[in-house]
Amino acid sequence: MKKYHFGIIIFLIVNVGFYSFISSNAEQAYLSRYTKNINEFGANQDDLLKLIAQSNIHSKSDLDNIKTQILGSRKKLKSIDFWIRYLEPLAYKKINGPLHVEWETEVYEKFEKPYKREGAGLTLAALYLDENEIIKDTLVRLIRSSITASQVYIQDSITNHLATHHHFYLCNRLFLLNLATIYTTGFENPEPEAIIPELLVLMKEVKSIYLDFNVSFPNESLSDQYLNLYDLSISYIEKQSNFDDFDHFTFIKDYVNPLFAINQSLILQHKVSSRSNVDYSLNKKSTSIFSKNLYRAQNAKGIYYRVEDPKVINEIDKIGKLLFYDPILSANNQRSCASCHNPKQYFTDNTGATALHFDKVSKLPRNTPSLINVGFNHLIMLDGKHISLQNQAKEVIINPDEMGSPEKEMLKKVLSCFEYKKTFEQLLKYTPTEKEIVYDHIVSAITLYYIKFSNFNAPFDEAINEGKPLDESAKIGFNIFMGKAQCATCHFAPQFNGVKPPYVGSEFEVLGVPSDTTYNQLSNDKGRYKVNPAKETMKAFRTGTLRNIEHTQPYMHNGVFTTLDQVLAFYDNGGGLGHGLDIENQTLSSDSLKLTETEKKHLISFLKSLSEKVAFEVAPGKLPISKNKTLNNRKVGGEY
Amino acid sequence: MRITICIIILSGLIITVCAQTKVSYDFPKAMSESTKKAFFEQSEKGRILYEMSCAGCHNFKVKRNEYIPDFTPNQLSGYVLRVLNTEHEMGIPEEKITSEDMGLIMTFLTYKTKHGLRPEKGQDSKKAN
Repeated sequence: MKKYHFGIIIFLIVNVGFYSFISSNAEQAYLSRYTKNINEFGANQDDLLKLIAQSNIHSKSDLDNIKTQILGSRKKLKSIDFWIRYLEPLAYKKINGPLHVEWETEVYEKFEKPYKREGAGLTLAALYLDENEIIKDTLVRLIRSSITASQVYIQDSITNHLATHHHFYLCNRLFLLNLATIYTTGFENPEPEAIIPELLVLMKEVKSIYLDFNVSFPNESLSDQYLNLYDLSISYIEKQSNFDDFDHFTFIKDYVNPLFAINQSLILQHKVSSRSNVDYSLNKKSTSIFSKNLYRAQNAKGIYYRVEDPKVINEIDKIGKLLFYDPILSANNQRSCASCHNPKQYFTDNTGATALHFDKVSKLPRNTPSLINVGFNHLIMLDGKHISLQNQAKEVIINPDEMGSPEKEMLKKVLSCFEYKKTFEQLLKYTPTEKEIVYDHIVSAITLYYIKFSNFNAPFDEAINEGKPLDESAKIGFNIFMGKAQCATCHFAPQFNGVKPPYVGSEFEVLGVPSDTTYNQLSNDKGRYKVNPAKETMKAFRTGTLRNIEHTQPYMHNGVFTTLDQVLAFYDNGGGLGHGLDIENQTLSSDSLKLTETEKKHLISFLKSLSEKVAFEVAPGKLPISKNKTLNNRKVGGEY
Repeated sequence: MRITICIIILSGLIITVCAQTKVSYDFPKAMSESTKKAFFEQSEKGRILYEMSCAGCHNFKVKRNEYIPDFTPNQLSGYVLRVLNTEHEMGIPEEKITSEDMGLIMTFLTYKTKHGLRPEKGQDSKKAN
C-alpha cells in the first residue's frame, strides 16, 4: 500500500515536471529564437571580421570572398531584422545604415536641432568594396561598428519587451510597411539581383518568428487568416523570376496591404499599446497603407486642435476661407494667400517658375509649392525651416519679400472687420489659454481651411483600396517606379514623398538641379544648408510628394522644368552630376537609368494616376467689411 | 427659504475655495525679471491645460484639499512622456495634446512651487523601491 502511494507521488512529480517543462519550453520558444538568431548574427560578423583581417585587400579573389561573406551576413541579418529595426532604430543604423551621415529631426524631437547620425554596417561595407582605393581599416571600422551595435539587442532594456505580445504586433506593422516601401526597391541593397533572394530569406525568417510567437503567446496569436495570406505572399515572390519583372502593384494590393489591415485589426483586438517613439505618428485605426489617416505629421487645426464639433469646425473653416482669399493680410492690401497658392491651379502657381516678389519687380528664389497634402510632411518648406503649418503661414505674412505685413498691424486690420472680430471672439472659448485674439487664431483658421483639400483619393489609391481597375500602363509604370527607375528609393508610399516608415521624419536629397534648362550651371540655392549648415546639407531639398504632379508644374525647387518629360530626362541622366555639373555631395546616383521612351511613358501614366479627385470650391462672393473705409475696396483673392 | 438659499450658496463658496488648488511659482533667483515674466505667462497657460487634461487623473486629495503632484524632472521629459506611461499612449496622443501644449504643461509643472507632500507614482518611485 505504501509502495502504491509512493508510486503515485512519483508519477505526479514526473508528470508535473514534464508538463511544466513543455509549457516553459512553449513560453520560451519565441525568446529562444530571438536570442539564438542574435547570437548567430554576432558570430557571423566575427567571422567576417576575421576573414577581412586575413585577406589581402588588393587581391581580387580575396575581395570576392569578402563580398560573399558580407552577402552571407546580410542574409543572417534577415533573421533578426523584424525585431531590431523596431526595437532600437539608432543601433540599426550602425548595422545596416544606408548612408554614412544622416541629419535627422524626428517628429518627437522637432524642437531640437537636427542630430547628426552616422551609419555603418553591411550595406555601406558592400558599397565600399566597389570603390577604387580600399583601406582595410575603413572596412574593419564599418563592421566593428555593426558588431558593437548588435550588442545593444541583448540588453535587458530591449529583451524585456519580448516578454509580452505588444512589441510583436508593432514590429510586424513596421515590417509590413517596409514591405510596401523599401524591401522591394533596393533602398538598402546595393545589388539589384540580390533583392528578390534576400526578400525571400526575410519573408521565410519572419514566418518562423510568427510560428514561435504563436506557440509562446497562444492567447494573442496571429490568426490563421493572416498566416494563410502570408504563405500565399511567399509563394507569390517565389514565382517572380527577376527583379525587373517583379509585379510590385499586385504584391502590395493583394498581399501586403491586406496583411497590414489584418495586423491593424489584431492590434486593436489584442489591445496593443506602444512604448516606443517609433509609433509616434502611426494611427492604430487606419485600415490601409494608402489611406490618408495612416500617419499624422501636422496639426492642421493649430490652436483649435481640441475642437471636434463639426458645427464649430465649419465656422472656423468659413472664416479661414475668407482669410485665405483676403488681401488684408498683406501690407499693401493687394496680395492674399490665393494670389500664389491659386485654388484653381491645385493651390500652386502654374504661371511661372517662381512667384513675383512683393516689390512686383523681381522674382522669389523658389517655386510655390502646392498646399495639397502639405500636412503629410514633418518639416515644412523645401529647406525644412518650419516645424508647423502655422509657423509657415505666420512667416509668409510677415516676410517682407512675400506679404510684408508686420504682425500687429495685420491683426489690427483683420479685427477692424466686424465679421472677423465677432467670429474670433465667439471662438475664444475653444482656446482657453488665450484671453484675447492673437496671431495664432488667424493662421490656425487658414491652415484648417486649406488642409481639407488633402482629403481626396487618386485612381491609384482606389485601385489598391477598392480594387477599381487601373490603367495597364499606370500599373507597369508603378512597377518601373519601384524597380528599374529607382524612384521609390526616395519617394515612399503612400504619399510618395520623403517620409518613410515609420513616418516620423522628412528626408532631404541633393539632386544637382540646374539653374536653367541649358544645364550650364547649378542652381545657387543652398537649400537645407541655410537651416542646418553641414557638408551633407549643401543644396539639399526636402523630397516632395508626387501626388497631383500632373497639375502642379513647374517642377523642382526653382521651377526649372515645365514638363514631366524634362523631369524624367533629368533623373534618367543622373541628375546634375550626370549632366556634367560639379556637385560633390549629390545623393542621387549619377549613372544613367537607361529608361526607354516606352518606359518613360508608362512612368508618366503612373504619375498621372496619382492625380487626386479634389473637390475645389468657388471663391467667396465678398470679403468682410472694415471700419476703415480705405480697406473696403479689397479684391477677393487679391491680385498677383 | 432665503436662509436655505444663503446656506447653499455659502457652502458652495466654501467648497470651491477649499477645493481650489493654490498655485505659486518658484523661478530660479538668477532669472531676469523679463524672463520670469515670460515663464510666468507660459506657466499660467500650462496650468490651464494641466487642469483640463491632466488633473483628473494626477491630482490627489489630502483631507479636503486637492494637490497637484510634485513631478520629478525625469517625469517631465517631454515627448518621452507619451510612451513612459501606458495610459498616455491612448490617452494623450498628438490629437489631444499637441507637443507645443505639452511643453507648456511641462513648464508649469517644472516651476510650480513644490509642496513636498508625496511624490507622483511612476518611474522614479518604482526604481527607488
